[in-house]
Amino acid sequence: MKKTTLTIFIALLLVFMLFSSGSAASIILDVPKMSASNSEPFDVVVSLDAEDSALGAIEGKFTYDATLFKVESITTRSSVVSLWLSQPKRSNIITSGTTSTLVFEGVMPGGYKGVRSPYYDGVRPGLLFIVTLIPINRAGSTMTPISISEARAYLFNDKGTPLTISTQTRNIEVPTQSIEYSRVQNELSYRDSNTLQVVTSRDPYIGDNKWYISIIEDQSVRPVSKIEVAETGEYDITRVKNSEWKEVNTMLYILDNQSRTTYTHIKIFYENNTYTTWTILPVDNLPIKTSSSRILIGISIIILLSFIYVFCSSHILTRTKTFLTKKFFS
Amino acid sequence: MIKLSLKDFVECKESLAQMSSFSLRTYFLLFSLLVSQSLITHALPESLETSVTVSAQVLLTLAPSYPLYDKPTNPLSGVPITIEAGSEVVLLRGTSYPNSIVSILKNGIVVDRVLTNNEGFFSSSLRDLNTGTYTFSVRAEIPGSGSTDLQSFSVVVTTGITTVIDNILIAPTLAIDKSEVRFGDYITLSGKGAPNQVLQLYIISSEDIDTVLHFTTKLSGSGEWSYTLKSTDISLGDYTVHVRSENMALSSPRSSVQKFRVGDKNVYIGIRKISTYYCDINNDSFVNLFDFSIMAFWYKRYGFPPNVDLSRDESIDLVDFSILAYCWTG
Repeated sequence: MKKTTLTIFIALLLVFMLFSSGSAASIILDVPKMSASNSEPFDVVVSLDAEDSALGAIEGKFTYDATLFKVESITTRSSVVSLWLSQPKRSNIITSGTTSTLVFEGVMPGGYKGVRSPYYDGVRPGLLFIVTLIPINRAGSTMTPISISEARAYLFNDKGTPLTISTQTRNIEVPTQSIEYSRVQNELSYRDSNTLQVVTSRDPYIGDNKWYISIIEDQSVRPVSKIEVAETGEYDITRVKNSEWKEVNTMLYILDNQSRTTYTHIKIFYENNTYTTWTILPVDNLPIKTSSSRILIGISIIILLSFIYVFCSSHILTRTKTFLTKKFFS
Repeated sequence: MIKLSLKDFVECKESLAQMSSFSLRTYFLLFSLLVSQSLITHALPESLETSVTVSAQVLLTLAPSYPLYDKPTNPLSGVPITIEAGSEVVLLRGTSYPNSIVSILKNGIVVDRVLTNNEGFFSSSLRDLNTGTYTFSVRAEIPGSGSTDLQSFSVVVTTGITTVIDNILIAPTLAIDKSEVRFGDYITLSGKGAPNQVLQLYIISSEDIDTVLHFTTKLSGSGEWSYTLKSTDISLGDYTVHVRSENMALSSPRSSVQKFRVGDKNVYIGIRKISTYYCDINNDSFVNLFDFSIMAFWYKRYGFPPNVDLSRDESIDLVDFSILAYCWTG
């Protein structure tokens, strides 16, 4: 009886292993087994193993205990994802109760099948992002999970076939921290960006052919936390009123002033507490209305001068006539 | 008129499917040599279109677990990656149709455009890259034949060392002269690619994807190929066709896939390459950041224009972005 049970168990296990190994891609979490006790930051490396698949897009959720960790930084530098729809960055973290969640969604133009190098044969998993966490535990040593959930990849084909991928949960021991975490926030400062591009364009597929601006920035190095736009008649960006600034949720913004006769100022705030600005000049700084009014003013002045001239001429002529008449004929 | 019978070819292929992978590879190599040297080189003249009728009784059923048409090499990771001493960070070298323009993309953005020489060779060097992982892609704009699909490589590069991505064999183009061919008539398949390569042509039944018809021809010294197929060699129904070129060492990725039907009438479409037009949202002949921006604008929103919804599932989600990644031209 026992032998039969064991055989069935082994058979079931083999079947399970057979099916579980059928997953065509996986997200790998590299987490240390234990954090330091002096609030020293540590890295959680999230990688993507395409295995035998070619992938076109990836999505998932990174979760951790918000009472035990603070995010120091998140970097997507060297990531195999070229274009992010939902970039893993501090400003995208959502905390609900004791759990913090970071949603990531990205696209890999041309497909992804693993990373190659001259130093090894074949392909290896590629980096998605690195989260640097700071332990803030003050309530006694504890074991906590850091996990990737709801992950899905999309095959690199003309149908974008969804593919459920295997994910991981890793436990980390977090001892009581001897030093209380305190983050020194740098003062907001201006810093130029040589990777920022702002393009004004119009398209029938966006707001019925309305003019819009696309804000393009290499966020792998300097992730954007917030964008503000002001459409105003004020030339000097520093003199734009606070009430005129409008927060923009996407990297694409449809202009309110479709005639584009105002200045469009853009402020891009970065996660490292720096910001940069961009100004789009009015396309038509001599509007038709102004031109027309200037022409009207010009015509009015000419008429007035003509009138004065005629009036004066006739007045002088009359006076001269009177004078001559009095002098020679009286 | 030369008439070729490929009956022996079928027998060889059938025995191939039953052999182990090692002997299969060896046999395939020998067979390719035999076909390329004995049959094609000696039997087929320059203009196949007018002088050759191919009688192809080649219905081949393959094992579904390992389709032969994806066998020769892994298109995304097959090219050799080596290192050299040099001032460039990355050097990409390969072959395509002579005098075509090859676009080099870094993380989905075009960074270089080079012209292939009379032998079809191209070389592009990229400088000013930091150490890290990058996805490099290549595609060729072939005069009179459209663009090839994007071929991508995710590679770790290091500053101070030149990483060489070598022997890139860009896929040939494929065009068909009819979308439907009357049973008994001929359909002409043609295209352009790297000169003097062996061209593998695969016709797959839409009703049964395991039924693959495989033909071999050769690209001419000027990089052109053509193949005339008699529709009586295949049964009535819908088919997809794709090609790939290969040499002794490597195989290109597969070309774009074309569809045709063997029915009761001839429907001419002219010699053209069906491009990725359905992904080109703003109709500028490119699938790039502008299309991505438009799609990102409509991501998870309602009221989007129909052509943004590439998957036709009434929503803009990651499936659509994955399809966009598949069509990407940069």
